[in-house]
Amino acid sequence: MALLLGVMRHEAGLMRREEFLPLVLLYPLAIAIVMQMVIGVGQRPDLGSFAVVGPWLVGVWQLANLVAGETLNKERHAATLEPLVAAPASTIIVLTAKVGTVSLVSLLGLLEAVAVAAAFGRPVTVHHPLVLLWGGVLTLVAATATSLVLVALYVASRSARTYQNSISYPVLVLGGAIVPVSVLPEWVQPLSRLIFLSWANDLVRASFSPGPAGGVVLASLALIALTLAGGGLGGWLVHRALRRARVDGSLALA
Amino acid sequence: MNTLRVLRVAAHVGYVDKTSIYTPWTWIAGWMTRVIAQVVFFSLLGALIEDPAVTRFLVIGNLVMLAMMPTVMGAVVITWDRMKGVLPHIVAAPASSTAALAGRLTSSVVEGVVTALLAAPVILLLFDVPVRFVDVPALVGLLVLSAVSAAGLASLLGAVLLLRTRWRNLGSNLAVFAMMVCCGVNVPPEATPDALATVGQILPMTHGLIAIRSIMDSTATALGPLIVRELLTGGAWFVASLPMFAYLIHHGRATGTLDKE
Repeated sequence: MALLLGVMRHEAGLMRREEFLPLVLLYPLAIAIVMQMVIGVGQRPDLGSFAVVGPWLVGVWQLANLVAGETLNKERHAATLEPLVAAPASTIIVLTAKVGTVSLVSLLGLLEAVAVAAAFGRPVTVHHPLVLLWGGVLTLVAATATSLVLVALYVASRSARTYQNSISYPVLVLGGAIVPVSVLPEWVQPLSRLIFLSWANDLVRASFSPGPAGGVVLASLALIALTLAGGGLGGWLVHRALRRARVDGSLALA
Repeated sequence: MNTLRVLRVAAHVGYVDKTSIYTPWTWIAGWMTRVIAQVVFFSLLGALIEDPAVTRFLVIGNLVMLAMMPTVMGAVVITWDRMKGVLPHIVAAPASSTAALAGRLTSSVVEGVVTALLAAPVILLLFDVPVRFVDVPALVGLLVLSAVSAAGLASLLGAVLLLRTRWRNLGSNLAVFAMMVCCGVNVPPEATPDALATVGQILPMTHGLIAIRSIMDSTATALGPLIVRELLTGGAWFVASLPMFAYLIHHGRATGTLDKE
């Protein structure tokens, strides 16, 4: 626990100088404005919760994707990767804490989307605050686990930036980040359900429902399962990649 | 004549820069997949509100936006010359520094137009948006015109970002998002909030996109004024970039900071 808190405090200090964070906050803002305008044209104010949750999830995903590529690169550039791996503390726990701390910033995207909704005269009401809190926590934990898988993929690639850029929108489309999965073609839907964004969208949107919050249990179980699978796979892949790099002496080489 | 030669070389350097990031395979498999998914992403909003007319509007707007994205992001390419320490050489050379710097945008314009043209058949088929064969030359011409106009904005942006290169990604993305929100890409200008629509009037692409939509929708809109407005908008941004480049060079020489901030 002391290790987790120590890493999180350290990462929070480093974050103040991160240049990509303001960039990531642009996404939810722009998508929220676009969605509000489109909802206005379509005269569908009933879709207000989509225009809040969707932009937030776009920010969550973009940050998860970006931080996955930057985390190890930053350590390499600062020549701290070797001491990090050599330290007796678990490298996987340190990396998870670092990625998780940065992912907290994406909560600002939710505030941006809520503010945009209010600015467009379509404020949203949280009818189930506990569901919102629970959904927010599960979403960020799932994003952190997904980041860990991406860290492993990017560390094995020579040009993480190219792949980061390439998967950004395809995952947002397949994951049903801004639209319900039912809008996507039927053959895509099983694939969408393997991406945490689709369940996060269902779960967090339920908190804005004026009636009973439906589907909370199913979405929660799915998010927990995806988090465990992603975290396990990501942890194993990162462990393998770092072990190989230690064996062939390429740890500090990009 | 020499300026043309400098422009040609600068365009080639821009092309080489791109090939250091992408191989032909990663450009097609990675970049094209990403941009096609981007258009699908925004066009799905039409499916969300269950309005085919809105979907069509989103498809056309976001397809044209694909040509603007690499063009405006070309501002980042300009900043690389300072970051890599090449700027003092460009300034010391007897050729026009502005041509060398702004010329880097040529490859960005080409990349933008090629991106949109390659994505168009896939997107238009996917969303069942027909295009009359006879309209294709005019549509391509307007796409090129809009991209060239956007290069004017990228030139000023590049000149400003040369002063603070660490903000290059934020600045260029801000410009791309501003165009996405203000230029009638996702909703018509008349449905855009007044403040945003006003910004759209001075941004490139707004009038070119109206012209493209009028051809696609076969509406009787006079294209001439729209083309002139688009040209004037891009030209104004480019002219505004010239004193910025001059200031940067003068300031950099005076303070010895051409190769560092």
